[in-house]
Amino acid sequence: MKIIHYVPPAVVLVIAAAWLSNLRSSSAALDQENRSLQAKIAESRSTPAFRNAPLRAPTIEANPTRVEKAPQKQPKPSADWVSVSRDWQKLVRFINDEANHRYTAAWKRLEKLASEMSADELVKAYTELAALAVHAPLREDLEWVMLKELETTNPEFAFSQYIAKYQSEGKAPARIGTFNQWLARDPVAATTWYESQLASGVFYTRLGGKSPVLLPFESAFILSLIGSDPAAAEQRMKNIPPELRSGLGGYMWDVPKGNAEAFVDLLRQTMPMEEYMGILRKNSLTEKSFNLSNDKNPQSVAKNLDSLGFSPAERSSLMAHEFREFAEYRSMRDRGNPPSREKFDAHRRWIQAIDPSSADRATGFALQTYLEKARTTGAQDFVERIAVEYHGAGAGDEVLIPLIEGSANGNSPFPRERARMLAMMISDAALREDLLQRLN
Amino acid sequence: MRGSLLACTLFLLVAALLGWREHRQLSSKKEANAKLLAEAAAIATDGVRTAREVAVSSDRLDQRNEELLKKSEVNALVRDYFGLFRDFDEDPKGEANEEFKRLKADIRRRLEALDPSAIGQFMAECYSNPDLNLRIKRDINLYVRTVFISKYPLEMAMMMSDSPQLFGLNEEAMPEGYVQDPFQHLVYYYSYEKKDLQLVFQCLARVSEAFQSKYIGGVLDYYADSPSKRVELLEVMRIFASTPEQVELVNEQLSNLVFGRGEARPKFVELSDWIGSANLSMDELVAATRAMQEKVRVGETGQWLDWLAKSEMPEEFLKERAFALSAEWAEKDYLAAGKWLNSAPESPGKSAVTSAFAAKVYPYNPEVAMQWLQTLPQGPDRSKALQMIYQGIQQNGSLDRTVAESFARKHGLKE
Repeated sequence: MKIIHYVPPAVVLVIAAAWLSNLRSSSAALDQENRSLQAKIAESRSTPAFRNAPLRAPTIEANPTRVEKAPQKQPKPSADWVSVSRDWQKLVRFINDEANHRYTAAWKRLEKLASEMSADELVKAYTELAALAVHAPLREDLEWVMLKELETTNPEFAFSQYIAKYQSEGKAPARIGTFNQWLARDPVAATTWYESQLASGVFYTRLGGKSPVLLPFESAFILSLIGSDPAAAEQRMKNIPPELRSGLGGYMWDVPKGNAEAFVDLLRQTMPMEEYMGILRKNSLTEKSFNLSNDKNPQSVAKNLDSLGFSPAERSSLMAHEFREFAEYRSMRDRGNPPSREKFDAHRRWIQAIDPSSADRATGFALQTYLEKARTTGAQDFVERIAVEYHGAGAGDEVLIPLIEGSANGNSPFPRERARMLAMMISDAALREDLLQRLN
Repeated sequence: MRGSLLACTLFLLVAALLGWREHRQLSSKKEANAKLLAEAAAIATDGVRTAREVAVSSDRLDQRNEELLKKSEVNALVRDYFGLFRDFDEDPKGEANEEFKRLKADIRRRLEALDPSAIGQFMAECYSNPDLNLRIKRDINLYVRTVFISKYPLEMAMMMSDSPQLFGLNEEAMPEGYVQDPFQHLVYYYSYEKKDLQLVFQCLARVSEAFQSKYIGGVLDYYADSPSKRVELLEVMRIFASTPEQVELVNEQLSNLVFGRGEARPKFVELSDWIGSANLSMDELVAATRAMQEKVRVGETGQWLDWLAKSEMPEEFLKERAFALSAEWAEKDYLAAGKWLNSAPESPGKSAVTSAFAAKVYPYNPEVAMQWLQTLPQGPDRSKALQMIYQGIQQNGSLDRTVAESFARKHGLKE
């Protein structure tokens, strides 16, 4: 074989080698690029932003200073000591950052500890609490627990703190402990303490001298006197500024049965009727008759009103209060549903069975209340239809008047043109003219 | 020559074999590279479309078929769903019927399998169905809350914001009776149940401004129930506030975050401690202290006035806060307010307090009020008090008009 014959295979070999080498280098470069891409993708997937959000939230995640979720709280040290601890402050600090502190063992221990502590220890703990940076809901609960214990062991301190607390918070007290029990248990001490509070001027720090904080105390005195010395009770009532008297209702819920008549008389002598019937509507003397969840026998309700000696005007006022409250409740229940005519009819029948002469006026006020609360055109149709049908079936003008007057004075979302149609139906000519004029 | 040709053939064959193998490897690597590039691009642009979806999207025909299939499945689901209620409508046992329960469980399984786009279609189909009634709306609302929101919070948040009418969230109306607000539920579920603030704010970041404004307060209600959680929430809210509108929205919430909106009024010692630890910026401090007189204990007003004096707040805001605080204080405890005035050193804050005190006390004790007013130099504090007194006289029905006119003349006020 001549040397020239080696040339073609050599050339082929060189070309093939170059081709294969080129393929390999391309493959290696792709390999490297793929590895790099895989690493980058894996990195992206492992970021919290990607884990937390299948879609990115540009406003939050675009922010380079995004703060990661706060590190989990360090596990708390063993709480074995909690169940036996007598260290009030340590227990308080221990649960200060708990969201639901009332469900913790430390809270149970604090409650128990409060019942075990002496009055002096509690007074000291209460005073020290004022300087501790404690979360407001926990502070509120701690104060109640301590003051509840102190009401019996150191009532002077406890009730003074109640006054200070409500004065400082600038609001009327929802409750003020068991001052009535102290007054019954030790009337001299309770009265002496209260007189000293009055003398100190603590109740008269407001401009105009009207503080609602004295109402729960005064109500305890009034209820304690009502049976034994009604004149003294009346005098106490008259010492309270008239505009504050209706606020007594919340503290005078529980009237002893034997004092019912004296209590009603006292209210009659010291307040306007609408005001005191508002108190009597939410009172132990009548509330069971009018509880919305009760299907009370109308005869027994009427008997109760008879026993309380309510006049026709008082019954009418009471029934109007009652039906209005019912209408308010129905407007809430009917929201988004068709208004329930049956419920309205049934309640009217119930009121008619108790006091027939009050039913029309009470119905009129109830319809107006329903409309005011519902504020929908559907409600306008509903109340108008009921009013017209009741009136057509023999009800008095009183069933129409509240809707018409509400429209005339702008208190009720009832269109004037529709109110005019109702006014045309008023049977009393003078009243009809008057209402039509007011609607112009 | 034959040997040469044989060698060439042999070399070419071997090279072709090797080349074929290399080429196959190269092709598969190119394919992998394309997929990786697509996946990286998906993450970079949206993060939602996975590499698999990209691969699917490359095949338009398949995708179209899949969409059609999905649509028909949703249509069938809606048909079965409404049919279920229609069939059992007359049944006296109603929803207590065992067969009804079994069929509903099956519907639930099918609903759980829906993806966000199918959910959107399902909602739209349901709400355009003429047989939709309150009973079915309540039932859908239950699925939205218990199935869809817990599976796809972000997508559902956007869907509710984009199409509120499909969720009973119309602008003018509250959700109907006994139909719970599903977005409120989302905020509650992820704030209170799951404690996932990041996710709640991711959802809020994606919805309309109206939704942000309406629902951001819920996070405070459901999450900020301890001091440390209030700090944590503040941090997340700061990050959320990336537009001027969101900054304003967060600022509106700061007062509630700092002072709380529960029944229990926090004490000065707790609040001042918390504010100190929260490192509020001056803007945040100014926003947080808006209407602070409604939040603090009136008995601690003196401490708050002292705190304001040390806060380095711009004088304009400091005076405004001091005036509002002391007007409330004078109303509820004028003795304590007067005592503070007697002992406090002269300062811009004290001038504002004097102004408020004089204006409030004037109707009850004009002499004392005017004495305090005389301690103020001519300027805005004095004018503000005089204006308030003048307006009070004008509105007092028991006083003659000439009293107001005489007061205005005496103090150079415009009548």
